Amino acid sequence: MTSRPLRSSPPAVDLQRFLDEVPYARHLGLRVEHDAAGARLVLPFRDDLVGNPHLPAIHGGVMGAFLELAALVGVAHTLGVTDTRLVDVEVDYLRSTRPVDCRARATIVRRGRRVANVRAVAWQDDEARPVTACRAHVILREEP
Amino acid sequence: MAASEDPVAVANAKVSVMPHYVATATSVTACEEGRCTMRLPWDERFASAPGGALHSGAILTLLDNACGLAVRSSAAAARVESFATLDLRVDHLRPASPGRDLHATAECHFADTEVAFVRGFAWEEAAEDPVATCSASFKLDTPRVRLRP
Repeated sequence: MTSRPLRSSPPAVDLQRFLDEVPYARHLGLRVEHDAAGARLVLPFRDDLVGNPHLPAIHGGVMGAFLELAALVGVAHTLGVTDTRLVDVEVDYLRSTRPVDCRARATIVRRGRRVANVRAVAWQDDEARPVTACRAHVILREEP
Repeated sequence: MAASEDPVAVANAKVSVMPHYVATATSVTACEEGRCTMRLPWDERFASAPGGALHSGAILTLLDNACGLAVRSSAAAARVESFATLDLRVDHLRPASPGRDLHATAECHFADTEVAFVRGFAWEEAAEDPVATCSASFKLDTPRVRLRP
């Protein structure tokens, strides 16, 4: 939910290209999908993303990194801003992950003049049963 | 503890079962009860931009590793079979430097029978000049010990 209607639609950002310019995002194999609710990010499962092999579960740090990137993709998609600074992120671990793909979606909670409060939620089988969630503060270095 | 049981070697052996750990060449460089330091060698695949510094997500991942090991090496965790991260907060103070290895030091500063709290920081040249700080909370599993026969 945004704080106020935008005066005009932000310029469309090529989200996949935005991500592909980030080596770490390419390393994680992240890809963008679009659905009725907007843009979402996919983390394809790979064996080398596993943390605890006994479950097996996706590494908790990788989930946090995935949500950081989802937050920045959300800012690019919803606000049209790609020049940003990620200030802080708080990750909540809600459910154990399984060795399958993850998806994440970001929501702009509040966009101020220079700072956005962004929430991102990751799920596996069911968006209504998230596995990991975060809240991030992002400084916006440009006006769209 | 036998003189030949190097805590760092023991810790490295323990975490080397984690595929992501091995894939990133992360290693433990210091480990004592409830406190540890880990090292992530520079890898351009984890950069934020071509020719750029380590991505904040990779910094967060190393901090998550260090916090987990700090709990695992604590006396409180020695009594439980497993524990789970509840939350992890990372403050990204400043960008890392391209080409530099990253270190993360974490300390479990409080634990009881149910929970553990960890503070950590990520640094390059000097621990006094961190690039990121973190705090994490963990739930310790109830020990599977029968109290009565």
